[in-house]
Amino acid sequence: MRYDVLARAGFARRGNLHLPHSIVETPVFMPVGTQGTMKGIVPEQLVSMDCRILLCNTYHLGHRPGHERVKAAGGLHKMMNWNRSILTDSGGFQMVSLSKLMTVDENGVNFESPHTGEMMALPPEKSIEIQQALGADIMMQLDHVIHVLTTGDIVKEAMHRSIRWLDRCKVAHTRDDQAMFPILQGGLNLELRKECAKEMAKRAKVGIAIGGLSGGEEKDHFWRVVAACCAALPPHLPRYVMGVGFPVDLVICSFLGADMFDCVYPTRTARFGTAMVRRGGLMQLNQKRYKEDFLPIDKKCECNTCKNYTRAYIHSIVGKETVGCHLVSVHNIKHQLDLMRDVRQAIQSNSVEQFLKQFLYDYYGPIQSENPSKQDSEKMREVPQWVRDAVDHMGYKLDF
Amino acid sequence: MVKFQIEKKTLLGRLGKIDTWGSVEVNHQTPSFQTYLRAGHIPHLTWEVAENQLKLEQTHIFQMTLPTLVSNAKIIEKFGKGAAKFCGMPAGAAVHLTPFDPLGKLPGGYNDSKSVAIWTANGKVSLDVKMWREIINSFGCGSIETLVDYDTPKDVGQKKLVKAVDRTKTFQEQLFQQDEKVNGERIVSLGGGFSKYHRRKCAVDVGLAENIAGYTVEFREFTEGKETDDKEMKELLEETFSPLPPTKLRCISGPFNPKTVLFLVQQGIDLFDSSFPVKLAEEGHAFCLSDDFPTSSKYEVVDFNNEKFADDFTALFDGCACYTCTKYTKGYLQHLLNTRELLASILLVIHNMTEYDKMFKLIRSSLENSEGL
Ligand SMILES: [Zn+2]
Ligand SMILES: [Zn+2]
Repeated sequence: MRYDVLARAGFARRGNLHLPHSIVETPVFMPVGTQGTMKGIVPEQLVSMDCRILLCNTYHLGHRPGHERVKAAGGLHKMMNWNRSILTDSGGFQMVSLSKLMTVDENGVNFESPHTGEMMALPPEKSIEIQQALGADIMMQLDHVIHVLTTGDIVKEAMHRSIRWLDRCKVAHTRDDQAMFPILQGGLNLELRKECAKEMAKRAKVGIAIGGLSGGEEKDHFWRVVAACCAALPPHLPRYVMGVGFPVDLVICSFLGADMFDCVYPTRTARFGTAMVRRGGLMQLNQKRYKEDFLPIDKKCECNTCKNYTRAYIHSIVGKETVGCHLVSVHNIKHQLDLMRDVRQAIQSNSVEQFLKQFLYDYYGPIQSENPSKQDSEKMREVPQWVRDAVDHMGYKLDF
Repeated sequence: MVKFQIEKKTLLGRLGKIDTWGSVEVNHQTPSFQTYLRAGHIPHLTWEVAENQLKLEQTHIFQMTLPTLVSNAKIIEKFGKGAAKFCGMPAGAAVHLTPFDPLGKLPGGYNDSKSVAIWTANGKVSLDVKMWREIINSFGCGSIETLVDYDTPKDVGQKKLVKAVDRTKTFQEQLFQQDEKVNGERIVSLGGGFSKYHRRKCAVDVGLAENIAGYTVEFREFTEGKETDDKEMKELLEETFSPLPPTKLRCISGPFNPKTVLFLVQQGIDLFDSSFPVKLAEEGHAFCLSDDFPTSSKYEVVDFNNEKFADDFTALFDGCACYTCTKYTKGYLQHLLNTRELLASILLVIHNMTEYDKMFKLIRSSLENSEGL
């Protein structure tokens, strides 16, 4: 397992992460298949979209079907018929978000079992044991997750505890065909983040994650933390910003020097008929305006949905037939993968500024329509200040 | 045209071949089935998945069912390229259009002298002849079927039954009125409920018209889950077919299990639909024919909701070469059902349709090997 940086543009890097099951080109978006399946998409479809890595959730799989069962099935790859790379999270984050009675002490995370209602302990060693049974290419350390808006000494304590837990995870980590990523903590405090980066980079072998973000913090804080962490981390480690997946966040973070991302949004939102589009951001296909719209979701998109289906057709079946959900999921995942392909291309060809201009112009512009009056009625939305600041920080200029 | 010929008649049923369906060359051997569609898709399969992962023996003849599309009839008309294209179907497919969804509910008491009721997610739609003709013409399918008053349950009153048969006749006459254009080959719907007399009357009333490509027998009271009587089914079908030309294609629609299929084949039915495998899949069930099918009509239905499969990481069915059985395990399928993941239905539809397809292949070869009449 190794990471090669192939090209740079400003802070951004274009690299190849060599994992046991595939070579992952970075910056990369990892779709999330929570329960060991990608919401009604068969793995062959992901392969045909050139998806190289996906994320599965340890917390969910640990409960159902259970990590011993996954192990008995021959590991996650075999069980779900996916022989490219997989990343599993530590399970800690889901406990924080799904268990009301969660507590943390030095031993680990304590949570209420969704099955028995009893309190159960998840020490770092157990998280690694479970993840080793699942057998993903990349495991995550168990970290002490606190809400991103928490302030005071607890932020520092959680950060130090995460470092101690990392050491325990390293001891528990015995399979050498799996990488383990540390997770940077430190909240919105840039000094703590730098300190954490220094300590964890010493301990990281293959890659490292930037955790504790995407929890409702202001965007202005978000991008500055990402920028500070990327700047503080050594170049040989790919940097994974956890839980990031909105297109504009992917683009900005990539150009700030981040390399890996994951988000459930593309598949989750597909269920409600929301398609992600380069022009206009989001397209809510259940809206009346698409009833007689015979354009594809995105004319330029080469996904199977856009090649064969109109907005009107999808509008007609969203929420009625599972196929409607599948079609939008296919498009949304392809949208994310293609966006990252274009980001990589921009870095490779050193045309980041040009790419940024076009991307932001489209993203905050109106949705593509055959009906000009509709297009006019939707004026260009403002590019948010945090985006402008981040672009400024990168040293690029927007001329609109 | 629907070019159909009977190649052999045996005591177990008849072997035939459909050369063309509409303008599509299909070379489809019968007994066989139409591929059941909802919203223009094999339920749960996008066309990408259907084309790449579902491998069947023969060229599909698709059964496009109206209820999931009827609310969009005007939009499909405006689209102007037909319903198949609207639904993203592969180009050049043979498609039959039916007003009914064999897995949909059809409660009684909603038909009237001008229309038959079909049911959508948003409630009832009264389908009259004019509307049906407009839909037929804008959908542009290779074949269509005539409207039938299906509301003839076992306990139906004599008066209502007479009315139903009369309506079916009137609907057909109105549909094919002179000067009216009706796109597509004509499959005539034959009703009559549980009455031998009315079965025969309906067949004579509507079945002897000109330019008919085939028949479809309204038989929803005899589908899977209903109490059926072989003798009764046999007699009703005999009454239906005896006044009709024997060489035309005979279809029947609805979820029929392997045992009933064998029986209906014996009564001379040529073409079924794949609603049975889809129905099972949507219940979390998979089926598998006995090794000596069709000598024995036995089959096994496996309920993968059952937790006993959770630790079983072997293939669903040994020897099945379908996508599902070659790539996934019982335990994984149980997990998918347990977590209500959408992939479960996809995998079960693929296996069950493959098995249903195999069933017809076995039936055809047993007819080939049995003595001709
Ligand atoms: Zn697309
Ligand atoms: Zn199978």
